[in-house]
Order: sequence, then C-alpha cells, then structure tokens
Amino acid sequence: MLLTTWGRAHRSASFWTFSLALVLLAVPASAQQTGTPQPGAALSGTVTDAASGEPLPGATVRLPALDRGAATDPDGRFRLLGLPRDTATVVVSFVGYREVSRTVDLRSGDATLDVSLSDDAALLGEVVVSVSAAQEALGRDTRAVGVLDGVELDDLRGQTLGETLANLNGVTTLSTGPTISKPVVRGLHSDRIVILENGVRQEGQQWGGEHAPEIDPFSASRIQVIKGAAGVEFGAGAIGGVVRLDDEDLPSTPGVGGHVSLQAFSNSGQGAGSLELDGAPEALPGFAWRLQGSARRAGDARSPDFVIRNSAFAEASGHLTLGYTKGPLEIDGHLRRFATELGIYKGSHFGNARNLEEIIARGGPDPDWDYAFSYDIEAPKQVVTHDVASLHGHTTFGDGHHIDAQYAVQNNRRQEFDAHRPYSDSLAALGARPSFDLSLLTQSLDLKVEPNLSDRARLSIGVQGRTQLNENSASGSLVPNYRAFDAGLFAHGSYIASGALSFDAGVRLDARTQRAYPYDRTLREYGDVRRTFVGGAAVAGGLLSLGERWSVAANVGSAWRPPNISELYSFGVHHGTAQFEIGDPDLGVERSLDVSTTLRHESDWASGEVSAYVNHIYGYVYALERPEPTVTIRGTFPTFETTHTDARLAGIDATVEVRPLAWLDLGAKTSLLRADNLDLGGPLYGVPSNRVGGHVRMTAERLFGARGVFAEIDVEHVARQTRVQTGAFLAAPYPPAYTLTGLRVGGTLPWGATPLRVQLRVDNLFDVRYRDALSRFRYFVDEPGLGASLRVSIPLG
Amino acid sequence: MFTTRFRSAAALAVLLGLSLTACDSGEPDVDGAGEEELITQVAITLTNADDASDSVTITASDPDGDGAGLTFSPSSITLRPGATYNGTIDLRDTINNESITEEIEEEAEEHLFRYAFAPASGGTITLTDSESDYGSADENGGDFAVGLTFRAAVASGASGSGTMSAVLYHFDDAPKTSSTATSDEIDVDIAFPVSFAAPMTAR
Repeated sequence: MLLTTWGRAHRSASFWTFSLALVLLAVPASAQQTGTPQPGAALSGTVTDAASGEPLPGATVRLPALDRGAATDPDGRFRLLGLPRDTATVVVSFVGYREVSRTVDLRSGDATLDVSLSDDAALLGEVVVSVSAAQEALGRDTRAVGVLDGVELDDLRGQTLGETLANLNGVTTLSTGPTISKPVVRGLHSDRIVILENGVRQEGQQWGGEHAPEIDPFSASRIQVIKGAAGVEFGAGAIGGVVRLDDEDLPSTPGVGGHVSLQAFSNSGQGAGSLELDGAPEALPGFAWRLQGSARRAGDARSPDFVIRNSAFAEASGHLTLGYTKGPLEIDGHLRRFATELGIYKGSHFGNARNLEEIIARGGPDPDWDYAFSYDIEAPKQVVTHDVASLHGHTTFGDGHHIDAQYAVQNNRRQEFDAHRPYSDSLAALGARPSFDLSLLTQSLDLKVEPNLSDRARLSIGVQGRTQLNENSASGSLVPNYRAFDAGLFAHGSYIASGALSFDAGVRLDARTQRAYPYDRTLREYGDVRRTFVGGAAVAGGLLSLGERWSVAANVGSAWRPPNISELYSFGVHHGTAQFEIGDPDLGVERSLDVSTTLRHESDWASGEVSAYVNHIYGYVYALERPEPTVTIRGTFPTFETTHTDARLAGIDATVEVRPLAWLDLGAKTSLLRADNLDLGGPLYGVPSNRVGGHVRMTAERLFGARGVFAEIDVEHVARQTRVQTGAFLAAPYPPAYTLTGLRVGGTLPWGATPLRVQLRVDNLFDVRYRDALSRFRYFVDEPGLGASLRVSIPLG
Repeated sequence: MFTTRFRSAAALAVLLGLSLTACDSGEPDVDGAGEEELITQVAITLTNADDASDSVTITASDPDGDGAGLTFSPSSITLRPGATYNGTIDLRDTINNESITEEIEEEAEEHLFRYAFAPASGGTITLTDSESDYGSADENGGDFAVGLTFRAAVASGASGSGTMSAVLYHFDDAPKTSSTATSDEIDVDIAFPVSFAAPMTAR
C-alpha cells in the first residue's frame, strides 16, 4: 500500500518495475495518509532545517529497499505505517539540502526519527554521490543496468541514440557511416533489442543493420539499458537487452517552466537545438502539459584525410504530452513525431564484387571525385518518419492495488533512395522515387494489474495485444507486405525476504501469427504464407546486499523472438555490401538462456559494477556465405543464405570509479566479449571488439564565479577483432586496433539569475584515422576525425 | 474507481478491435509487380570483318533479373584464330520489354564498356565508337570511347577455350575522364564462353 499521494503524473507503462525511480521524483502534494494501519511497525518523526530549526514541509522521506516513502506535512512531520519489523535505511531529502541517510531499528516495533537537514551548495556540484543514488545503484536490478540521466545525459545532448548509449559500458554501436548508428548491447542488436520510449515499444524496420532507431534522445530525462534477457517484462525480442527512454514527469505545481539547449559540432558543421516547455495551469487543477521540439542539421563529416561525401543529415522531432490527475487516477496522452533525412556515403553504393575489391584495394574514395564539404543531401539517402500517439491511464483502487492501461498507435515510414537506379525510364526522377518505401503501422494495447499483496511482495500481471501492417509501396520486393498479430500474457513478481535479500521471478507466453505476401521472382507472382510462432520467457533472480556498500546479484533469464521479415523472405543484392542475400522462409524461432551475475559497490570514495554473463542462443539466425557465388548479368556476388546455429556470447563488463580526493575522479572500464558459433565451431561473425577505457576527471565546486567546474580526459582503446569466421566477409580483414582520446571541460555559469550550463568537448583529439569492426563502411571509409562540440543549456522560468 | 477503469479499458479494447477490422488486409495489388528496371539480357554479335556471312551471336539471359542463374545461348561461340571481328552489344530489359542499348546511347558520356579475352593470349579487343557517335554533348571535357561497338582481333595462335568478358562501367558520381576510366558502379559484368578453332564447315 502506498501511503503517499502521487502528486505527479507518470506515464511509464510498466512503472512498477522502476517505481523506485518514480518515488525519487514524486513530490507528494501532502502527507495525508490513506488506508488503515497494518500489523507492523510505524516510523514517525520530523524534518527540520538545521540552521533555523524551522520545520521543512514537503521534504521526502524514503525507504529505498522497501520502495516506500512519504512527505512531511506543513509542520514538518511524517508517518509511515505497516513497515516490516526489521532494520531499514531511511533517506531524507529536500531540494537544496544535503540528503541524509539513517538506519532505523524497527525490530521491536514503532520508532521515531527526527532529522535536521543542512543547506548545501555542494549538491549542485557533480561529484557528490548522494546516498539515494548509491542506494539505487546497489539495489537496481538483478541484471546489469546502465543509466544515463541528469547532468551526464545533458552532456551528451545533440547526438543520436546510438552514440548516446555508447557511453555506457557494454553498449557499442553498429554504424553505417557518420549518419546511422544503432545500439549493440553485449554483442546483440536490431531485432534482439527492445527500445521503449515512454513505455511504448518502438516498432520500425529495426531488422536492418543500416536502420537507426527512429528516436530523438533529446527529450528523455532518463535512459536505462537493461543488459541481458528481459523477455518477461518486454516480450519477444528482448534477448540482448532493453533500452528505455523516459521523459521527466509532468509538473504538478502551477506555472510554466522549461529549458533550451543548443549544440554546435565542428566536424560536420552540425547545429542542434531543443526547446522544452512545460506547465500546469492554475485555472485547471490536475492538468499539466509539455511541448518539446528539437532539430539537428549537419553537413558532411570529415575523416582525417577527406570529406565523407554525402554524409549530411537533417532531423526534426517533437512531442506534446497532456496529463490529468484526479485523486488516484492519472491519465496522459502523448503525441510524438520524428523525421529525418540522411545522406549515405556516396562511395558505399557500387556495382558488384569486382567494384568492392577495387574499392578495398584503393582504401579510400574515388580519386576522380571533385568534392567539397556541403550540407546537401543527395541519393543514396534515407527519408524516415515515425509518428506515435499513445494514451496511458493508471489508477489505484481498493487497498492500494494498481491498474495500468496503455494504447499506442505508431506509423513508421521508411524511404530509401539508391544512388543510381539503373535505366529507369525517367532518369530525371532520380532521387525523387524511392527504391524502397515501407510503411509499418503498429497498434498495441497493454493492460497491467498490480495487486497489493504485502509490503514485501510485488506482483504484476499483464496482457498485451498488438497488430502490425507492413506495406511496401515501391517496386522492390526486398521486404514483402505482411500483417501480424501478437498476444502476450505475463506474471512477474518480486519478494523482499529480508532487508538484505530480495528475489524476482516471472514467466510469459507470447504468440505471433503472420500472413506475408512474398514475391516469387520465378513465378512472378505474390505468395500468401501464414505462419504462427509461439515462445515463452522466464526470469529468476536474486539480489543480496552485503552491508551498505556492496551488493551481489544473479539472474537467469530466457527470451525468444520470431524470425523477422527480412530473415524469412529477403532475396536480392544488398546495396553497400555487394552481397546477394537469400532468406529462409522456414526459419523457426530463436530462444535464449542468459545467465549473469553482477557485483556492485557504492561508497563515498568509490563505486563500481562488475558483471559477467553467458548468453546461449538456440537457433541464432545469421547469414552464412554459400560456397558458390551468385552469377548475374551485373557480375558475381558473394551469396549469403539465412540460416541458424546455436550461439554462445560470453563476456564481462566492468567499471570502477575511485575518488581519492574531493576534486579527483579516476575511472576505468572494460568490456570483453567472446562469441562462438557452436554448430560450425569457431567464432560468431559480427560482434564488437574487446575494449578498455579510462578517465581522469578534476572538479572544482567554484572557479572564477562558475560552479561545478570540471575537466575530464577520456581514453578508449578498441582491440582488433581477431576472431574471424572463415570466409565470412570477403577477403577484407577486420580493421586494426585504435585508441581514441576525448577532452571535456564545463561548468555552470551564472548569467544574471540564470545558471547556464556550458560544456566544450573535443572528440578524437589526435585526429586518429580508424575504422571499426562493427562499421558497415569499414571497407571503404574512415570514421570521422577530430571534432569539437559546444553545448549550452539554459533553464527557463 | 475500478469499474471506471475497467470501462475505459473495455472501450480501448473495442477501439482496437474496430481499428483492426477497418484496416486492409495488407495483401498486395495483384498486378503491382512494377518491376525495377534491370538488364535481363545481353547479346554480343561478332561479324568477321573479311566475311560478313561469318557472324556469331551469344546471348546471356537472367530472366528474373537477379539470381536465378545466368544462362548462355548458345552455350559457347567459336572464334576463328587470326580473324578480326566487328562486334556489337545489345542490352535489353525483357521484363519491361525495353531496350537498354538505346538508353546507353542517350547517356553515352556516362557509360564505358571494357572487353577482354581470357586468357589474354586469345587476342585483343578495341573500342570503335565514341560519345560523339551518339550525339552526346561534350560534358566531360573529351570525346571518350563508349564501346557499344568494338573490334575483336583473335590471335592467330589462339586455341582451346576461354571467355570474352564484357564489363559496363557507369559514371554517375564522378565523370568519365578517359577512354580507359573505371568507376565504382558496374552495371554489367559477364564472361561469355568462347572457343578458338576454325569452323568445321567451311563457308
């Protein structure tokens, strides 16, 4: 039973899983207590200002391990009932004051706790590890979880989702030139990762390696990456992990606020900006709104030696959220649009394997090109829009039971324009007619119930339904039209055995039925194929707190996914790789068994997380080169047939940060992965290289009138991928190892009464010439060289 | 409260159900083939420069455009050692029934063929046309070769079997800067089977 009145709307579909985070954000409107006292202990007390002795109304009192909380009343008093008779950690916080953590003993029944908070400017600095963050980190999940929020996320604004997430250990990117990047979590990507934006599962043509997620991370206030199988909560596809983006909660106090953030990037001449406004009208109690818009425009990126021809892009996105809260009922509606037009390196579209061999031998762009930096976007290019409308409702009823419902409709439109459509009857229309025009309409309905069982146990039961319609309106028959229906049913629970030990477990059953119309090029007619896929997911995990500074967690999860449309039915030459790709219409489902263990540490002077995992995937779908190439009129193409194998991905992700001095922060991280193809023996193709990195960060609370000043040097070394699947990818070897260095300085400058947050960043400081094993362009173009970026964030209101 | 929420959920479910039935089935238009234009047939005709009646044609076909396999008709042609042949090449899109040769003529400055015998001892092949033959404007700063017509000089010592390759370079991103230029956009790349021997039946 929740004793607080939730003062702010929230819209996360599966909010209970992460309600700890929401409790942090919830500012209760009052300390009124509802419901009847339960057997158990009560904790009461007062919160006062240490300097004046005055009571502090509205301060937050939380028991993070129990996910319980309350706010102080106008007299600074609070009361929490029905607590387990155990010892508990209580965290008391209030804006502008130093957070306080106390351990209370409730074993013999009720207890009182009086806390005085002191004003502390250091809270505005960055190296302060607040107790709540430490508690949250230690008790986060039985899987490894990476989180970007607050200042850390602000410092990454203006980049794509893939680039942003690459700052998390264990997350890398699969890139297609400077314009397209998608996240790779522990070696898995595309259909093996689920991305949720404000609780809505993103549905686009995510099977494509060169299809970036259609999400602008500008508006998210918090991004989490759950590493490992999470099929119970998130359904089919969550084999490698889940990326969750959530906006900040809507405001609950009347008034209008917001912020502006602006970024400029030297390498590509990119300018980016975002404006966000939110408010709660005084005349309409319970209503709140947020409007956000952002835009990015970039010219060609530059490698150390040349301009990467046609790597400009333009992107715009925005959203509108409206919320209404009345008593326990919370409703919010969300409209979002994302639109991008991005150029693809001109040298990546070529004729056949003979061309590719010549390009690899040459090592760079065509010497006959007479090309200068430009903002123009020419073919080959992609034009993508993604629209989402969602409606989410939540309420509590009875004795603190929760119910949550969400409907979402989203439409993804993807148009791809080839560099050169041979012998089109209207060459004037070149660049006007896409060679690939797909639209995917997805509707989904999620219902969840969380009955209030006890303070120690939580249970959520949910059903999900989804329908998809995919239409290909261009001439190509790369991906057929299809219609699909999905249904899922799950139960997921957790239990706190004691203050130190907790468990979670869950099961899920999903089914997908799909009717596709693949084009038969021999018969020259469309087929009509119905297939149904059924899969289950399960999870079991435990987390043990070892004192206040350490925790250890273990998790066993299983997830599945049905084969995607391209794996089933693709047939033809793939541009940019000169590969002939053949799908397998008889593919079965992919299932995984993921075992992981995570050790976490949080203290004033150090923090760290070490996670080891083995993800065994049964029926892993991949493309294997056939011994015989395909001979066509256009020449000879290495031919890849979709097939499956058992695969094992095993690795370690570790991060350690120490703060030996108040102004010094040293960090090191490594991510190691070994992936094996168990059927064929030997390595599995297409996984990230091992990497190791570190940083040195110096901070000053105040320097020349600025606050929270920092300077940081980051170094990352990426090893060469030496484990090559024989014959997997032409003759080109994986690129050599490389080391990148970055530099950042920043701080908060007072501008009148407005605190301006400013950051200057230099990436690839030494203009290193490099290519990455997971870049689809590694054969023919270097990655971008030296680039500086400037970010300014201005709060409004 | 619970009933209120339940009703809302039911309303949503009904809404979803309605929207499902309202959508079309996703079935494609039956005649929607609208094929991409592809070169599906390439024919080379070689005519003995000294004997117009000594003419051979070999056709490479890939009727579905991509993948099902390239076939030659006849399976091989026989060339006379020491003879010189005037050659022409003809390209067609048989799916849409269009002549690609005509399009290449119209965009002669964007195209360049290259021919070769393998083994190279089979002879030499030179191009006999240039952009001006097709009325192309001199966009590239020169009147460069195209290769819709060519001359194949079979070596007098040629024997056995080999291939005659025809490669069509397309110049789109960078202009054709010489008569021997290459580009990263190969549209045609075929090795026609040939054998070198005097014909069995004298003409």
